[in-house]
Formats: sequence, C-alpha cells, structure tokens
Amino acid sequence: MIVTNKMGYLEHLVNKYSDMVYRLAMSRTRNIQTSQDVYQEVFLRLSRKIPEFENEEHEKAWIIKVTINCSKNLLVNDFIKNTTVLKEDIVFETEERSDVYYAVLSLPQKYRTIIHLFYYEGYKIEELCKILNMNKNTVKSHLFRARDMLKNKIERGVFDE
Amino acid sequence: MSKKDYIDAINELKVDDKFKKETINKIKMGGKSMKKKPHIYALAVVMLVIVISAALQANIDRDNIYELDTAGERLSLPTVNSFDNLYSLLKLEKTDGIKEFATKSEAQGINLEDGGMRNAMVATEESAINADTVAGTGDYSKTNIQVANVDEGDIVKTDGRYLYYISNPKVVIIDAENPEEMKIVNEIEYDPNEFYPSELYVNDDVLVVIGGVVSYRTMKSSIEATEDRAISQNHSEFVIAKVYDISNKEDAKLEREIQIEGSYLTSRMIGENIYFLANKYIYTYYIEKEELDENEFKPQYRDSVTGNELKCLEFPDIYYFPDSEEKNYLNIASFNINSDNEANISSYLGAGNCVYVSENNLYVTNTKYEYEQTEEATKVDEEYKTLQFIMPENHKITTNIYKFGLDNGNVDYSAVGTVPGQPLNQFSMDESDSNFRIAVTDSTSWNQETNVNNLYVLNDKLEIIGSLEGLAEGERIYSVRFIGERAYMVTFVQVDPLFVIDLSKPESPVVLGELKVPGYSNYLHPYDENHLIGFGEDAETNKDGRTLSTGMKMALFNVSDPNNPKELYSEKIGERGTHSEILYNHKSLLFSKEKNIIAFPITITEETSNYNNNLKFSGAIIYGLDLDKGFYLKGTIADQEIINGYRDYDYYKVIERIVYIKDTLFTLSKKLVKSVDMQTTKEKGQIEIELSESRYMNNIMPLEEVLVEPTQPADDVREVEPYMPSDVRQ
Repeated sequence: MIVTNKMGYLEHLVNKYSDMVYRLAMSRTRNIQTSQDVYQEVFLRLSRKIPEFENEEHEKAWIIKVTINCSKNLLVNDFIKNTTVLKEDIVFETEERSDVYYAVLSLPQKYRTIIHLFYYEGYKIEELCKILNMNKNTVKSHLFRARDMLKNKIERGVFDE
Repeated sequence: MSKKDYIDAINELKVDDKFKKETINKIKMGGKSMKKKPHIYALAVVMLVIVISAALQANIDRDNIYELDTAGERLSLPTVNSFDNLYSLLKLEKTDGIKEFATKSEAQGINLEDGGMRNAMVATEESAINADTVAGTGDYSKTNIQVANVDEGDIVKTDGRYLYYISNPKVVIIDAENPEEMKIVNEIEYDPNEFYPSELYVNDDVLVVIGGVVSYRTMKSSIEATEDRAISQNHSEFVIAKVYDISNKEDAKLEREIQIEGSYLTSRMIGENIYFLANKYIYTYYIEKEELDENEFKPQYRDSVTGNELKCLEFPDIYYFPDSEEKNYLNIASFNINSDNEANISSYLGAGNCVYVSENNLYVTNTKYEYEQTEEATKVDEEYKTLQFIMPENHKITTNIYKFGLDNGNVDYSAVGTVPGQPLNQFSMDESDSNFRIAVTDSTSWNQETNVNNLYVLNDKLEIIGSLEGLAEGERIYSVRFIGERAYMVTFVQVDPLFVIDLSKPESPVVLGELKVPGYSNYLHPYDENHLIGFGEDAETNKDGRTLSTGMKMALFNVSDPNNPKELYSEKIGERGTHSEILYNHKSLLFSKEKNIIAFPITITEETSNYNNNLKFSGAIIYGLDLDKGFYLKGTIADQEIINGYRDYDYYKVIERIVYIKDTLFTLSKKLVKSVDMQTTKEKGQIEIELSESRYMNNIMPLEEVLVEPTQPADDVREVEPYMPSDVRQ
C-alpha cells in the first residue's frame, strides 16, 4: 500500500486505533495519566516510522505490540510499576461491569494483558503467541492461571466454563 | 457476571476527544514533544512547506504520467539505469528531474512486442477444477491448485509412493508403499539460520524446496541511522530455491541453488519450469544521498550454476513502471529444473500483493490508496491555537496489474493495466481466451458502507473491455471463483449473497442470479459443472451489530439454473471458535470427486458459557457427498486426545494436511504421520518425526534474535519489533 498522504493516513490510524490503544494501555498501566502518555508515545512512534503494513491484521498487531512495549518502558523507567496502586476511580454503568473490570485489573500485569487481548480483542491463542512473542504453552498457562485467579476473585466465576 | 460485562466495561473506556486531537496535532508537528503551545506563525511556515511539497509532488506525478501517455508505448518499460535515477525515482529528493531521466532511459526500454504477440495467442485455459485433484497417471492426491497444469508449492507432496513433507526445519521423505509400516528414508536437515523451508515441489526425480533466510549485514547507511531504522536496515531477506536429485531417495543430492533477495511472495511450477517471486523493500527513509552506498540498493541474487558468490543486478537491468512509486523491488526468478541454463532473474521497481498464474501468463497486482487533499481542507482551529488540517475522509483505491508472458522459463513484461478497487486473493483473478477477469472490492472511505464490489474484464493489453459495477453495496468480497464463462462471488455483511455472473460476453458481464443465505464462504470449490461447495463460517449478528461466527459451515450450491442458484445442503461443524486452515488456505483441502472425499484439518470447539468456548477435537475431518442426501461424515482422525480442552493441545501434533495414495489416507503433523483406511478411517500405521522443539520455536520468527534488546526483563513480554508472518494465501 502506497501512502500518498502521510498525514491523512496517520490521522486515519489514530481514529481507527484510538480506543484500542487506550484500553490496552489502561489494562496494563491501570492509570489514566500513564495510559495517556503511552497513547501519545504509540502514535508518535507510528508517525516517525510508518511501517509498511502487509494487511490490516499486521497493522493492528503492530500497534498492539508497540502499545505493550511503550507501556512496559514507562512502567520500568518510572518505577510506576511499584508505586501505582489500583484505584477504583472509574465508574461504570453497572455494578457487574465494575466488578469484573476491577477483578481483571487486580491480576498481575502479564495476566491482565493476555486476558484483555484474548477476551476483549478476541485474539486466538496462536495469534497471541505471535503478538506476545511467547511460546504457545506459556500463553495457554497464563490464560488458565489468569482464569483460575479470576474464578477465585469472583464468586460464581466470571469466565467459568 | 460474564465476559460480556468485561467487554461492556472496556467499551465504556474512551479516549478524551480533546486529548486525541492534541495527539494528532503533535504528529503533525513532526512528532516532537509539545511542552508549550507553539507560535502560530511557525506553524504556518511548516504548513506552507507541506503544501508546497505536496504541490511539487503533484507536479512530478503529472510529468511522469505525461511521459507515459505521449510515449504511448505501453509495451516498453524504462530502466532505472543509475543510482541517481533510483534516488530521484523514490522521491527522496524533491526535484523535477524525473522527466529528464525518463526520456533518457526510454532508449534503454525493452521492446516486448514479441511478448505481446505471444500472449494474444493464449489458448483457452482449462480450469483446474475439472481435473479433480487426482492425477491422470497415478492414484494419489495432488495439491489443491487453482489452474490446471500450474502447480502450486505446498508443505507436502506425494508421487504415489513417497511422501515429501516439510516438518520444520527439515524435509522428510517417507516411504509409504506399505501404509502399515511407513519408513523415513531421508531427512534433509537445515540450519534455520541458513535456510528455512516453506514450500516444495516434486517433479519425477527432482525435488525443489523453496524457503527463505534472513541474513544480517552491517550497512554503511545504517551506522548513523536511528535505532529504529538500524534494526530494519540491518537484515536482508532472501528466497532460495534448492534443487535436489532424488533418483536415490536415501541420498538426495543438492544440485543447484537459486537465490533472490526479498521476502517470499509466491511460486508456481509449469512443466519443468519454476517461477518464484519476492518483494524486496527498499529502506530509504530520510537519508542524505551522500551517505548512501549505492551497492546496498542493488538487488542481490545467486545461481549456483554460475558461481556461489552473491551478485548484484545493475541499475541498467532494473526496470520500473512509470506510474508506480513503490519503494520496493519485485524480483522474479525462473529456471528449468532439468537444465543447467542460467536462471532468468529480473527486477522491477514495484511490488506485488496478489499473484495469478495461468499456463502462459503471470499477473501481479499492486494496490495503492490515494487520499484527496485540497487547499480548502485546511483551517485554523481556534480552540487549540494550532493549524489543523481537516483530513480528507475519502480515498481512492486503484490496483495496477502487471502482466508477464511466460514462455519456457522466460518471463517477459507484456502489459500493465489499472482497475479501481482491490482484489482479495489469487482466486479474484482469472484468464480465459486471452481475456483477464478480476473481481475487486472498492470503497471511497474507511467506512465500510461505501464498499462496492466490481468485476472487470480486460483484454490481452489489459485494457478494460467490460465491467459490472456496484454489486452488494456495503459488503465486501469473501470469495470468488471463475469457472469457464461464469463467475461466482460471495460477499458478506450479515447474509451471504452468492452471485452468479455470466461472462460469455466479455464486454457485458451480467448477474444471472443471486442467493442469500446466512453465513459466508471463504473458499468456493467446484464440485462439478452444476455444483459448488462453499467452505466458510456461519454467522449471527449480536445486538451491538457485530457479526460473530457461530461455527464452520460447508454448503453445496446448485447452479445448474444460474438464474436461480440454490443451497442444496449445508453442514454445520462445531460452534463458535471452530477453525480450519481451509478458511484461508485452499491448499489444506483434500478433495476428490472420484473417491468421494472432502477432507480438511480442523479444530472443533463447543460453546460453554456466553462467549467462552472449549476445545473438543483437533484433527482431520472427512466427509462424503451424495447429491441426493447431502454431506455425510465419513470419519474423523484425531491427532491428539483432548479431554481438558486447550490444556491438552499440542501444536506439533496438529494435522496440517491430508493426502491419499490409493485407498490410504495419510495425515501429516509436525511430529507424526498416520495412515488410515480411506473407507473405515481405521488406523493402519503411524510414524513419528523427531523434532527438536526448542530449535523450532526459536526459529518460528527468525527476526527476533537480532531484535530483542538484551536488557529487557524476562518475566514479561520481550520487547521486539512487531513482526507478523505474511498472509498464507498471498
């Protein structure tokens, strides 16, 4: 795909992936301010690089990966990882939504990411392997451990079988 | 509480609009941090520069096209000729020098009139479909291909006695004469750092393995480059075809190697000639010309017949399409597997997305998006005190089709044509009576409501002679199949219309009939002249308007009355989450009408609660088809025992292909080859393939080795450049 209008293309990408990036960043950082930093960094990186995407899947996977990388950098660099506590500062429309959201957020970061990508973005395990660059069995074990932990956190088991 | 609550909760999280605009502005500012609000005049200057450069660009484009029109000789292509020209062609430099060298290089243009003449004599193409997947000579299966006599590479091939299978990173040759006691007669092992096999061909006593390698070299240009770019510039990718003499199966002798630069696009074998294509991206961003080493920009190749050193194609030998600005070389290699003549290697400045090959011609498409931008589209946004573009929402999609004549291993450019819209895959294209037919989805904005689906018929010079436009507005093409004088097209949003299109008058294609059924077909396979089998997914629309798959679906369409196509039978397989490679790769289908076999690999899941699903079965599924009764299950071959859902799932045991020799079916997975009786699906024998897992895993994505930053914490996802393998089909 030839991009003849770089700005138009970039703006299109921002609009298209805005919420996706922000939501993934939120699930990783648990903090609105940090998520916004990640959000900006992701799109600035995109604008500096403008990779040649093979297709839409590639495009989406690239952006997801960069979001993960950016949020990790911020977390490592700023020691936010150690200082951020889970604040229940977002009010959701229903109690169920709120419960499940904060239950997921209370998981360790690596599980939050995988839960988010699996259940929200709807990626299959094979795809997660590629995006997260992880061994299939690791992805699976993370997913199951995360579900077990969620089961304990929520009475009836949110993603119970 | 359910997964739905989680999805709904996340859906409530929205980016602040103001913040989003601020980010877009930052991008427009060149990605620099915007601590304080910049002065408006400074921005105006930036704006002006952008407008001027856009105008300049437009000028250059016009000149370029002008050259093409006045020259009027579509059959001759100019050559790149020199590094200076390449540099300007890629528009790294804002000059209007293009006109000058276009004229200059005209003299160098090749005259391909002969090629054109030859193509005009193309005989009627017989579609692969009627040939079944059974070979005329032997009782064994062949790869499910698109066009008869044009073989496509795959991970497994059989010659009626031996199975040749890529179990990465090696090629295994299995003697299957006695299905009860299969023997591994040879394993051709590769060092994944030197070669990574992806497809193979077998032709009598010749085995050709095509694969790739990523090699790393320090480039002069990359030393000064930024971190990001250094990564991308440091590696070069090659496609290698290895030719083996396998007259003695136990001792496969490597006879020849042909190597071209780029990432693998596709390949075909016609008779004894193999053609393979690679896309080589040219990294050129933001580097001063003086810093560049021109040799780094020459596509490299190697043919062991003429020596083992990598050679460079010189600029006078590289052609370009005057209307393409692709920063990419399309490299094409062709050779005869039984001769020692030097391989034909050619290079074009351009790129390929989809490739269709008939017996006489090779068609490569390249799709580009153009965005409208007008001066009025800019305004000052008072609220943010910055200049803001109103970005055009509209775009224009065009697909260039490059046609090359194939003659006994020679590849000659013969024509270029353009259609609006974008083809889906190789099945979107077809050649018949020297006419080229292509089905495309076009849109004018990113909103899918503007989607329309068109079909064009082009003559041998790739000029549009007939068209059918505006089908299924708001939907996109999911699958197409051209069969003789008809085209069958599936589009989809909520229900699946199957269009039957008559092409007997190429100037005026017409829709004969259409059928709407739920779900969609990703692949259409002809059963006989009156019936088509569609492989796809059943779908439902939930209350948010999202379309969700509810399992796989196989349907038999009766098109004997083209005005009134009918769905005769349909078979639903599994529930949401069920998946098969056949949904995106036609080569995974084993079909034989004669043997009454429809078999493909599949993972079947069942829905548990809400949106959750659990793995029930992984293996191969075998159907028979009776036109009076419909599909019936002949049997299943599990590749592993699944009791605890995904917990039991072993990727290396997953069946990738099913082939047959006489009355035995063979299922192939990385670790295990099984033979079963075709009628009873009772196991006859099995043989294990030894596999070093760690080695395999490490090389699934060869890029990661260099891209991983050593300082990253190991507990989480490692930071690497995102890399996704290219789509299997194209």
